Amino acid sequence: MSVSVSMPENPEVHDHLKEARRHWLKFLKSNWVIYSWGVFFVLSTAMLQVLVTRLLGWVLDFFTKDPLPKFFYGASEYDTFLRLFVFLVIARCVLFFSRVGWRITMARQTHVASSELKVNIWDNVRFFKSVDLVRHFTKGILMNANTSDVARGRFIYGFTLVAIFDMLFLGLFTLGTMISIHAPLTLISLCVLMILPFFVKKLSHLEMTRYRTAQETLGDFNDLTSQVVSTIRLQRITQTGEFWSKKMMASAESYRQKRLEAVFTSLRYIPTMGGGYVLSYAVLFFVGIPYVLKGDISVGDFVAMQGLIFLLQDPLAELGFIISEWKKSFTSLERLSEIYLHEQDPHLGLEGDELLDTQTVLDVESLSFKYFDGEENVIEDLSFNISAGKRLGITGPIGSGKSTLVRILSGIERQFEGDVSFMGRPFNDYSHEFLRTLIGYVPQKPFLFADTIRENIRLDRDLDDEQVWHFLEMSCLADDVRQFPEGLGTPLGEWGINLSGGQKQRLTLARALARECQLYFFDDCLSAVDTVTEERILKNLNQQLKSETLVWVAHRPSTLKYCHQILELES
Amino acid sequence: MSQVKKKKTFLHADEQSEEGIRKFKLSDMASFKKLLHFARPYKSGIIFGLSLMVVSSLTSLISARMMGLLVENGLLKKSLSTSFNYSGLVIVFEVLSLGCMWQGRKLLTDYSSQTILSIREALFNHLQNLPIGFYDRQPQGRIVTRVTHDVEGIEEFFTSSMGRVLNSAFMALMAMMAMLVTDFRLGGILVISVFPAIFFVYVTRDYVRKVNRNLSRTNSALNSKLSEFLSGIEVIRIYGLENWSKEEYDSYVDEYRTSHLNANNLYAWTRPLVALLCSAPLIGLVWYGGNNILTGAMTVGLFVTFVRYCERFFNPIMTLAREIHMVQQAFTSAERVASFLAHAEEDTVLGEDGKLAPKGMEGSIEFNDVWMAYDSKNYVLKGIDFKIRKGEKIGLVGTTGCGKTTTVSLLSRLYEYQKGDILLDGHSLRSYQRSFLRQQIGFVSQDAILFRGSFRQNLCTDESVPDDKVLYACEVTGLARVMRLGSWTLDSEIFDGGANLSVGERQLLALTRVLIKNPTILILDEATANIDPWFEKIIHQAVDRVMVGRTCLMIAHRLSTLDHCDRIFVFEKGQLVEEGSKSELEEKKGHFFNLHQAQEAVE
Repeated sequence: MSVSVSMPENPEVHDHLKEARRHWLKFLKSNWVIYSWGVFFVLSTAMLQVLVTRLLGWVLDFFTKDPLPKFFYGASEYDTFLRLFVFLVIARCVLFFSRVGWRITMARQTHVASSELKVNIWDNVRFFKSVDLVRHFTKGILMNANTSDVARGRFIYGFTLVAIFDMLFLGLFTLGTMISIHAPLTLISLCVLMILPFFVKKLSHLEMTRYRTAQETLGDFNDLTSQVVSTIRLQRITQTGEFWSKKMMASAESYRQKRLEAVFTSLRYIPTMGGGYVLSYAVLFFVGIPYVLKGDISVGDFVAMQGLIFLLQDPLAELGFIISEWKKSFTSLERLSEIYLHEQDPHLGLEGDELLDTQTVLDVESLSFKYFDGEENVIEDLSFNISAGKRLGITGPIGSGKSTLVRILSGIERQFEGDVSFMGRPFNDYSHEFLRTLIGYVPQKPFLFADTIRENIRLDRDLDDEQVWHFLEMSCLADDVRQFPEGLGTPLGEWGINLSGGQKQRLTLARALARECQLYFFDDCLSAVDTVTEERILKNLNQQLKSETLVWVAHRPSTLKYCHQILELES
Repeated sequence: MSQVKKKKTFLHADEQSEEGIRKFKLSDMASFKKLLHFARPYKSGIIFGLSLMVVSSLTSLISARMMGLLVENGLLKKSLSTSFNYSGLVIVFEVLSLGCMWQGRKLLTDYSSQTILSIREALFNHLQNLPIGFYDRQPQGRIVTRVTHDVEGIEEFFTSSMGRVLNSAFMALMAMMAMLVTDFRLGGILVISVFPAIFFVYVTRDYVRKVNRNLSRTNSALNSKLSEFLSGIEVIRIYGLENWSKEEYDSYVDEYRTSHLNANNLYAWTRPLVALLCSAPLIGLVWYGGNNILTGAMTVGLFVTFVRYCERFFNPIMTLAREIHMVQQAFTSAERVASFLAHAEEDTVLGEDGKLAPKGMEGSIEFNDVWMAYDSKNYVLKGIDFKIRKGEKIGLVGTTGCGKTTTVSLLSRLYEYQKGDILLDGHSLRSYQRSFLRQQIGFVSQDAILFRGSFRQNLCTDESVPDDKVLYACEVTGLARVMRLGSWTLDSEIFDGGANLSVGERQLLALTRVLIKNPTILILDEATANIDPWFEKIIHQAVDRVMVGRTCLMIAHRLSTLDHCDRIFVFEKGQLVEEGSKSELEEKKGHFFNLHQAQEAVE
């Protein structure tokens, strides 16, 4: 097996948050060159942004004849102006390159990390125990991990880092410049602005929660819509359309309310942010103007102060966002770590032995089984064996454990008591992949991938069209497929055509046959196929799979007519 | 790789095949106007909201002018009282501007969301009025996308982007006018200097759109892949496809990654470039102002005012440049939704609705030489002729595609027939009111639609029907017994799709539902297939009881279920080839006999 199945010795005590931090730091370390460049570019962006604002202030000072830094004074007035101007142009152009710079270094890592996080999800989930996928990591949770958790978690690998450095540098430079102009005024303005991060953090959290609620309501609405569209024909015939329209309307209205709440929360940034700078303007005016009139601050400096306060507002608001973002990101990464560290099904990682040369395909000795949440045994003390090329029938009422028995005999369910050996060895002596090439299983409920008919049969095997047709012939689906305009290339699923229940069952049968196994389990897999076609299929299989061993589960006695042995289970 | 690409195209054929829409294409502007009709009831509210936003831009500009005056008249003239007066004004106008902006956008969002709700309502009604033929031709996914995703596109724009866009547009416009009024020549130059930025955004718009669409395409493709693998984990386990599934999944992540990095690369230089282009005029202003102030042609106050105007002109332009793809997206979505709403409804396709809705129907049916084609070329019914008396039980048999399902669908007026006529109680089917007609027909198919709700709600959506009547029907069909066994009451909950019920229980519920509706004609489409033996007996009993006093048509594959039929119709290739009672047909040794033989042989 090409993948390593790492198993922590005791997953229960593992600290997921620690793991999330570890992964994050490891990622940062292994990409340290890119991140260093990123820091450099964020730094230069911040510097240049402040410099441009400062230069505009100096230009104004020059016009009002206020003193400038010595460096700018030239031979003539015009010369001085020229120097100021050239600096302004250069600073502005370099700013452009700096901005491009951090986007193609640090910010880019957001997407690189998100791909890695996504790859890791399936890399681990594919080996989870079936029981865990039903009980703990349900589809909803894993889908959510793949979308929301990755979407939020990825930011601390890139954009959030940009924001942190930007806030730090811009904040410090702005503050530094302001202090160099007038320290007392700076401190007073800063005190007023410091309330901003607090409010922004709160608001951002609220906004996030409300958007999530809105998104969940939207999900319900979309599910309902799919359901309504897929059943529209029956609604028309039974005249229940109005009822469903009303249901959809109610769902749409509840989504509207939730979304409106979320958008209104976003709009609260207008008074929050605006309030911050209006307040600091007020302070600047009423404390600063007397300084200007006294001559402590030049007019140009005063105008620059106003601009700088405007600039300082951004990093301070950013601080609020970052605090809330940081928490959310790590919570998401923590949830992802739970997936990455979760225990995998041990039998999927086993090393395997070769096959023994034996005629007994399956040997069952006093087999008993009960469900993880059940109290009584579903299967009690069962013993029998099958030899190569034989056909075994299993029948019995609903709930008598037919499907469970088949899952055990095919080596999928391994939590049982007693002994089951396949070709002379217990299942655990074989590697998972090897075993699966030997044992085929066609379940009751057909599952097809949203792909073409051809790809659904080929899967990982390299079959040409001729072979694909052969297996379709065997399962009596070839005639149906020939009638589709696109033949083997006919797409299935939501965006393709809908096969009937019987057609789906026959296609899953063809897919199993295409794997050319030695032992097949057919778990009531022709229940929706009409009896005439069923008979043709049974005949085909019986004739063409002479040396293979077949196990049939069915209600209808007609399905079991070719069996050598019949196992009748009682409930 | 090309193989992988090819495999993925059909999944999102919809988003790429713009060609398909072209046929129905309304121009962007026309579709937008069409959708604006839905905003009509909220006109005054929307206009009020917009006015508040205009006022906000205006006051914000006044505040900028006050700032200039503060410097010129207050600070430079060293007057404390004048300075304080002006700073007071700056703050008052800033606060006013913020307040108007906040409330204006709230109003606008509220009314927009109501407009969107009206659009959704129109779509829901449209879904119910589109002819069934429409659903046969369109993939389900596309229809769902129209009603969900495309409306979300419009909604996203109207409830969040539009406020920002309009606000920026007002700001830019006001600043432009202020500049032109203050100094026409200088203002004019500055306004013109915004063109490089606009030109750049215009030139790159299609590319940006493509990149964005690619983002959402790869995103949803990856999500559906994961969802598919999770649903099919059993199959993956059974065939040992763990590594194959990883390769597949990783190839989707690769596409996702490429599309995101492409977008990142694009924004990496376009965003800073637009910012640069937008700041160029400010630099130009410094150059122009500098030269003029040095010669005394311009005052410092005017220069400060213009610097502030420039900020208020170019910042909104930058916002507009960023939002432009949202606007484009909204137009595309609007176009799709409007085209969808333009598809012909039943009234056009099936002709004007009939008026007939008599009390006390008999239920006699007559097909007179009926011809029917789904596509107006290939007839699937070729001259069907038969009479069914009131209360008769008819079995319909034949192989797949023989026309039995079509025959039944015509009775419910799901499709139009081209030649001949169908009479119900002696009147042409076309003269009946369609909804009345469908009320008269009870339909039970292989799978019942159940939704999350109580048994009561699932049995009868009409709340005016008394519980007694519902309970009585349950007793008649035997559902009451099954409910007692499972200790369910009428108020017990049924999960989505009836997940907590067995196939037999669901079917029994569907039969009870029909009994409560009390139709004149009953159609059973393979209603007893797929049921385990224990339930089969109960269901058969229920069917017998529900059939009493009604004209019944039963479609069946398994001929043994037709024992109770008075007559059996045998269909083949769109024609009625045999009819008669079961024993007559068996003696005749014709088509029915052959079908029967084939099944006998296997059972």
